[in-house]
Amino acid sequence: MAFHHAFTGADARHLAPRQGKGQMILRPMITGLRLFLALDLLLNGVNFWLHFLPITTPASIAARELMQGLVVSGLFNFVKYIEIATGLMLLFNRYVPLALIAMLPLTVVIFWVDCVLIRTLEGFLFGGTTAVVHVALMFAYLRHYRGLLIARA
Amino acid sequence: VTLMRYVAVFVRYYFGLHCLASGANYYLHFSKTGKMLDPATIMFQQSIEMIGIYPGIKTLELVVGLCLVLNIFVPLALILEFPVSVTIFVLALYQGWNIHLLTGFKEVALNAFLFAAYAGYYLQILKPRAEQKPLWDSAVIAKGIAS
Repeated sequence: MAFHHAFTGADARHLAPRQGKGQMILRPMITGLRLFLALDLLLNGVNFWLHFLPITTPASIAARELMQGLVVSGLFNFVKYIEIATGLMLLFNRYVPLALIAMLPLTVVIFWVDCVLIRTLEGFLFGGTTAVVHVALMFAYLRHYRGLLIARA
Repeated sequence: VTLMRYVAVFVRYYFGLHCLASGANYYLHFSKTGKMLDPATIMFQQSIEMIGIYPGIKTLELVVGLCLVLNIFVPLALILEFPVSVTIFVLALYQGWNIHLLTGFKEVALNAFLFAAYAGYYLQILKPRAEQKPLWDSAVIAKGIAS
């Protein structure tokens, strides 16, 4: 049995192609994207209470209504707690696949508000970048989501 | 273990039918929806309807309901439904002690129970120190085949 394991281990190492140049660039790039999203979430989350970045009122009436609805119902606090928690998880590289899943509904709403409702250059930059980075990271950790994608569980 | 298996199947059907009915009712209006009492939650519901997200949520409920009833992609369906369940629960908290609170609690409880029943499928996500395992890394794939 031990021989079998040793053999399969050696075999796997033998079979596995050496890490190419592409992988050497992609891995640090993914780490960079993770840190970028982490800081983005953390800054946005903490800014809700500390106001160190200017908060502009959205030009779109619908976006303003949503913002007001979220604040009045108390869900905005909840959203900000999730942003901070997932930001910390991404920053410290802990439970990254879970953080990405937890943040997904918020990213969808951010993308919708910024790119569909507000539709300003700033909106496209912020909402678009957040969504693209989030999706890229989910692809980078895609194999951790294999369990979720089983059709007949 | 066998009893819990049957309970999980029952809860899956129950929750699935509940999601299916909730999603379908938005389009077909076959039953009256409970009136919200709290102005804040009414405002929130109106705002998500106004920005066009509400139909998306109802369609998601329909899809999740179908997945649960037909027993396909159950772990994924539960993950997709969870933010909706949590939102319903949080909004229900503002309604005071009435049927809304029970509905909100039931939503989260059923979702959580099914999470527990399918816990094994979520273990990969719950790794504290997850390695990048990208699709484009052939070394990772070769390792996976060998193991």
